[in-house]
Amino acid sequence: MIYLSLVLFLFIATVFAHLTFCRRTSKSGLQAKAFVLMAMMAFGVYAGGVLILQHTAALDKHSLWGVPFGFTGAIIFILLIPVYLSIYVLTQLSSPSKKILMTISLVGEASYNDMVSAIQKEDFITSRLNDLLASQCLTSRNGRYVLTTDGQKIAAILNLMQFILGRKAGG
Amino acid sequence: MSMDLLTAASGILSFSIFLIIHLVSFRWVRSEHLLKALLGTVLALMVFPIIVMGILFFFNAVDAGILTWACATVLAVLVFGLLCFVYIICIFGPYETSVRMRLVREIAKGGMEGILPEELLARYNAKTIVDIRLQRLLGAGDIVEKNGKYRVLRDQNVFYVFDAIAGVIKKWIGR
Repeated sequence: MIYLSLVLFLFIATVFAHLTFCRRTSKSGLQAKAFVLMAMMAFGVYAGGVLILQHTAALDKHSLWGVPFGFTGAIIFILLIPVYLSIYVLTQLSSPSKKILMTISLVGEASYNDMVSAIQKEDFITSRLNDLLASQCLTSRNGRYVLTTDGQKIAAILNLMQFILGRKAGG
Repeated sequence: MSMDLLTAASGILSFSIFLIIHLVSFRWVRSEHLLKALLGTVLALMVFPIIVMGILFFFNAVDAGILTWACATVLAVLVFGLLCFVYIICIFGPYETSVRMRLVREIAKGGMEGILPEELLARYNAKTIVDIRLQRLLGAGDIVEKNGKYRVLRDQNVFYVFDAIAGVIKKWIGR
């Protein structure tokens, strides 16, 4: 259990460090890269801790507290990173489903046209197109949107996923 | 094999079973039933790591006390749950629901010449977004439709929990 306690302690510490960083930084936008960097450092500390614990006879390996769950702990730590990031991005991104639910909740009952206007007002498509342009997945040439090499790679991955998953395009 | 590797292997094996079931059967699941089907499959397969660890305990695969086995079983379920969560949120979710991904696919259809903004909006627009989302929300039982009016039926689901946590984070970081 000491390994899991270490994982939880380091993960919570990383989250707090990241939130403090976000509070203090003057940069706008998502600070996901900063979190990944902090998590990698914390993972290094965990790996070091596991090595020390396993090479010293400080714990009885047959007691519940001392069972060496080092590998499982590492997997849990790595998986917690995208879990946190998926919640963190919600601080700056809104989804169309959420917007629809909020539109209905605000008035109690909403018609189809009310929801279409709410989605149009939020301008999900233009904001996403701007994100794709800013991240250079997309470029505008002669008034036409064209995929860049990165965008083409993403499209190829999506086509491969469609072949594997066998599902139509979502959105 | 150590208890540590058995635990991780049990969680990963259970996730592999989930992935096989998902890849084979989910191509026929309609989008309005998708969320329920995903949750149902994950919850049903949570029994799998318990069964695997139970069998290993029965055959005494590792010399350990019952408490250690119980702890390892909980961890195997946790590893399985986290793997499923990460797969659904980071891989399957964006493919199925992301507006950006849909835009990339629509623009890719234009080839090297690209696509005019008007053509793009004719293929994918606010109405398309609302149609797809309404289908999902109605299927999941989050909203109901009566005489052309939509009403929220269930105001608390897993996404509200995430939103609530995101709200706390937003307040804390002050943005």
